[in-house]
Amino acid sequence: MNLILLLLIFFPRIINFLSSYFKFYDFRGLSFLGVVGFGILTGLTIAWGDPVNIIFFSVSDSIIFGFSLDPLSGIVSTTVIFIGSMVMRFSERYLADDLNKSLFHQNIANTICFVLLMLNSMNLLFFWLFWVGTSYYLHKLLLHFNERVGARIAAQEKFWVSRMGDVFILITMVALYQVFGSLNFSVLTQDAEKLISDGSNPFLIGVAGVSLVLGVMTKSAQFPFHFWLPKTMETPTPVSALMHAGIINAGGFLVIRMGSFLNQLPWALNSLAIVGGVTAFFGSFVMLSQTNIKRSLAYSTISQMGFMMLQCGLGAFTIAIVHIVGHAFYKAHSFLSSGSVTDIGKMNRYVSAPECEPMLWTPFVVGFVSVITVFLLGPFLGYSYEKPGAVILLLVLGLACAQIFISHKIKSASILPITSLIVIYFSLYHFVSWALEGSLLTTAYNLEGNQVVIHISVGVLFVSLYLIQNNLNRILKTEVGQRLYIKSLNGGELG
Amino acid sequence: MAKKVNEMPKTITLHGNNKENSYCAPQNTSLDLILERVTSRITPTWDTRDYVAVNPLFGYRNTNFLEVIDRIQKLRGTRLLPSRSYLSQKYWSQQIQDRDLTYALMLFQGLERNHDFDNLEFDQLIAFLDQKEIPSDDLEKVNCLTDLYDQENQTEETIKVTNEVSKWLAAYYDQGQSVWRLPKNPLGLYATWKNMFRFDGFTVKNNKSFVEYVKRLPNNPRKTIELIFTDLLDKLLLSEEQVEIYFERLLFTVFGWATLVKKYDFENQLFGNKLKRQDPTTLLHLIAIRLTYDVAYLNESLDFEKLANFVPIEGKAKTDMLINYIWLLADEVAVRRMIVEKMNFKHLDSSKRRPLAQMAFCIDVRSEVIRREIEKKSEEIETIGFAGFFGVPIALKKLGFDNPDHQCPVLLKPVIEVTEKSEEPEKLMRKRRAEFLKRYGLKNSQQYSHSSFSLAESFGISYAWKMLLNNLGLTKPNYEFENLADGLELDIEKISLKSKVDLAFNALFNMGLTENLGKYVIFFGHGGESANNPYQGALDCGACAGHNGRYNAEFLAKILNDENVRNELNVKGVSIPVDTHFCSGWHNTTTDELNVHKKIEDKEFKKIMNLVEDAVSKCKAERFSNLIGNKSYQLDSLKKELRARSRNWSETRPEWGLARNHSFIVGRRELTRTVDLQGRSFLHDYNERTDPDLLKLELIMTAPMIVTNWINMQYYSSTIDPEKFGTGNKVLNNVVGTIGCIQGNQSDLLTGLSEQSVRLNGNYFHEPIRLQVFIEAKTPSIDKIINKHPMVSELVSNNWLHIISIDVLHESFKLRLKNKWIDMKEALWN
Repeated sequence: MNLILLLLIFFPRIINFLSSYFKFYDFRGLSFLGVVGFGILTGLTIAWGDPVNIIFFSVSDSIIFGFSLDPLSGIVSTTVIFIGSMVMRFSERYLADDLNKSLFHQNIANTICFVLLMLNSMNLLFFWLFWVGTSYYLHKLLLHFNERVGARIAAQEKFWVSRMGDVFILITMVALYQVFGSLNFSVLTQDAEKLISDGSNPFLIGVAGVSLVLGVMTKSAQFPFHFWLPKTMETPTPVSALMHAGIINAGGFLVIRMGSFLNQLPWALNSLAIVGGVTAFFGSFVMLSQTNIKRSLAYSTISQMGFMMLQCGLGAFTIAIVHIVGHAFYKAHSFLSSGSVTDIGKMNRYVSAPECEPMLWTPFVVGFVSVITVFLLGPFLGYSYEKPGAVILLLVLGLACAQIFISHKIKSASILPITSLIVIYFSLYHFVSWALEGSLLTTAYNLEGNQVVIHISVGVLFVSLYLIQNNLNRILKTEVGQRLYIKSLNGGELG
Repeated sequence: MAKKVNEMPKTITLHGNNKENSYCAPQNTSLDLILERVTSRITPTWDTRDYVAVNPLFGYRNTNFLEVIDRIQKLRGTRLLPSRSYLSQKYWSQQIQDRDLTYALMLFQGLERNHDFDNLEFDQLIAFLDQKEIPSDDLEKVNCLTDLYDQENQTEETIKVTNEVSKWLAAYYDQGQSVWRLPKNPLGLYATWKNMFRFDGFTVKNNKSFVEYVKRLPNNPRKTIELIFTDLLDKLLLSEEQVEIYFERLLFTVFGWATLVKKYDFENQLFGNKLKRQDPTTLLHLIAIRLTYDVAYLNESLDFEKLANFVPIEGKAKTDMLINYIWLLADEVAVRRMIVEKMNFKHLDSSKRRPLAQMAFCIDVRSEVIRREIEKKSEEIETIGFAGFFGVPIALKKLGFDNPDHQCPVLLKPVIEVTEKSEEPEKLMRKRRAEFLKRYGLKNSQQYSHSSFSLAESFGISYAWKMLLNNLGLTKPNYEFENLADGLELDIEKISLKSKVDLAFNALFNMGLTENLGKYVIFFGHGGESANNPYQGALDCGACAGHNGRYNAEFLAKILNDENVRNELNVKGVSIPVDTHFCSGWHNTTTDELNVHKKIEDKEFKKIMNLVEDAVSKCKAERFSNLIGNKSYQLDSLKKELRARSRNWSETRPEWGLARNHSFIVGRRELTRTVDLQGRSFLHDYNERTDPDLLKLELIMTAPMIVTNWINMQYYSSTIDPEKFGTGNKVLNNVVGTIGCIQGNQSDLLTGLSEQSVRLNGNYFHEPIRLQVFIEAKTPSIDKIINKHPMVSELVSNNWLHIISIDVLHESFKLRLKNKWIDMKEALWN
């Protein structure tokens, strides 16, 4: 079993090696075995309730070099290797003409391997090392066309933001080691409650908390560390797909890994919630006016990562995992199929969709009805208000349904998406909570002073975003609105 | 700022400009003339919805090819002549022979009458191949103010301004990407930009008052241009010529968008009030915007002597360019020699029996192979080459759609609108509309925040499934517009008999199908098939405005099968045999399949179809040997691979398209019937004897010849510089506004063809030469048409293409050079 895990982690690299040296057989066809393998292994760990561990050597009890596949890393790894193999297969044809294609394929395979190594690390130190490794190969991919000025600028900006993140995590590690005497995730999660409630070393724990929050912010493109992401389109499309689907969410993964630790630091989670909420707002707002597909997708990623971080900050780790996985598939597909977006232009010519805005009161009424319905439906579908962040998440779900209803010109066509949206949402929630039971922290949650304020402000943020995007033309009639439009068009970069 | 600049002339030293000679303040009228000249030089490009090939230099047709090459080199920093590596490869592989080179040198000396080069030695030509390529950065350029600023300060402001203008135009012309659109001013692009610019926060170093300055400008672009002139540029003492080239340079920094603006302007003029959109935007708007940005960089430290200075190339660089041009001529001589050697006069006299079937194809070079293979299979089948819309300019409004696609050359107005019919139109219509609006709703939901979050969470996993199917080539990520409804056909009943008869008569007359009709006449339109490809239109039929030509074929076949139409045609003197049946179909150029619409259950027809099937297999093997590499494919695996290419979402080169096109042969098919032209010739049927009034020849030389020139020059320029005249590397393409592409993060709108369409492993795949037009007609007839049409005469006399007259009587060829005809064979073989 252990060997199989090791084989699976290196699977993309092995496939790449075989197909570049032995041309007689199309080994790429086998790449899907990796996905199946990870899927089965994840299934087994969920069934057994025990992770699969490989320990190579341990310097001491505190520093163990080894890998561990538990349900959490299993689900995310399966997603990553799925997207990885899709991207590898896509690149094969897509870059058939490229003069440096073998190097490109190698780098892609290496990047995927490093992500898998990172996800399955037992120890924060190695997690960090593999994170740096991922970043290294991603850097090479971003510089695939290194004669392009834009590519160099983007890679450089990403380089410095990533190194900042590395330093933050390094500080976290030093502080945590001082406190816990170990960097194994198992120790960090098990001892967190005891040590922190003891009140020992509040300073070091504070440092660890702050730098951890800053570290994941840089890694997951949270505002204000997002600026490099929209500039990385100077590299072949599959790299964007891999980066936006498989790499950028590592920050969220680390937060969930360190969930028990962060849960002891309400202020850290609160700040993640605020950062996430602001990032989600910012990304969505900018996306509204973007005119090219890749940049639009980049801001979409920023907003989605913000939302995921908000979920983490609210303590809703289960839903955050659902989000990481769902968004990864969605975004990888969007990038790979981005050449088809010209169909929208054709469609707009064939069928003149009325560009009229909903009447002023429509969004209010629809939104109100929808949110109330979802609020009532939630507990009925087994989602209790005691779950962390429930109010905010149900609010967003309600507004989402309202938005889908408003966006459909034929209202009856929106019924199916809305019902399936709600049903699937709660099913996935229950499935993931069941699968991760035990390995994930799902404590009951009591809103306290600060958190009420945060909940309310995030709620206001989302409601106002909802109202803005349903009144876009009305807003443009005012000067402030025009100012906002240009801010959005510029991605908040200029002026 | 205006005030500050007003004072400027005092501080600028005038470098001894002689006012009388060089300075001519552009008066209003002369400014208008200049602007008119400048804007006429931009050729429209159509967006990806009707992506037809365009000669990007068509606006320069009234100038000699070589002069334009020089001018473009200065304006855009690229020399549009074949590279040394390509030429030496052709020379050392004996495809360009010494005799071609000698002949080219001779032609050149006769052509240019340039005595500086009288003593150009042959060795110099060969030595050219080993010299170093001049890097494009070293070429002397025409500068606008941002260029000067960049040189002064080592900045990249010109690119920055290009990206800024690109940002605004993308927002202005967005057709569906953003959900929050730029609020348009009814006065057009310029006023829209001007009113929104104040919020933009665009800054120029050392020019804090720029935003204020823009605010004070008038809303009218023409007035703005004039104002900036009288206020600022007049003081720089530019000559009229300099002003002209200055504007040209400005437009060249935003070339792609300029061509799109020109397209909208062109359509406004062509269709007038018929268009639903009323947008007064013209190129003046773009010039005004770019000019305003430019003067933001006006400051005293710039070296104004270098502003907008176009100096024709001189000295060593000139020699280098001319030798390069001679090599281009040599390549063309070699191609002409090859074609001439192949041309066959033996079959011309064979008396004509009634053929069993006639198949009409588009003149497209991709039809050449299939036509040859079909004819090889049977003497009883004739093929005909004609523009792929078969002379029926229609607009097709598909069932359930609000707006039509034009199915005719972009320079023509469709004469009628055709719709579709089916047995249950209402149901189908609802289904189609519902499907569209559903997708539209979903697409919008994905762009609004809350729904995008929840959709990603709930439906995210479904994209894994879609991705898998796409990757296996089982589905395409595209909306399959066609597949939404089966069993549809065109509805011709609503069209008046008169227009049907007129269209049918014209089509038959121009195709030469007024006599000796076979039992079956099949019209084959053509189209490509690809997935996830923004430039799908480039693979489709250019004569059908970048759409599949099957509808035109179907329409024509339908009206010709109509009893009433046949009766009327009889009155007009065209008698169609009672047993003649017209069919239609389409040639899928990506998989090389011939699809016949409504096959006839008939023994003879089946026989024909079997022959065609055989021919198709041969054709596949030939056409795709280049595409797939040297692997010898079994037919089955070849078919599989071609299907995969047409459906795979990661394919960047579904087919080679019209790459390697080199000639346009107008004449009887017998001349080329048994000849292997390697799919490189456009073939148009023409019989001099049936055209005493030269009506058909006139049509051919004013329509298909222009189109083939557009295609040829598009491939030419994209091959030589895919970055500046093509859409660059496809893996970096980024769809903008759902109607075009930019490169990477930001760039000008891309035009032309991608690197993958014209190059293979970094080397030219398309061979960049100008179009060689062979016409089987007497020289006076050709001259007559040339002299009648200024557009044709400009193209011919300025060497944008070469015309060769085929003299069947003497079995000789005459090349038109400088209004004279010279006998080719003599010069060639001596």
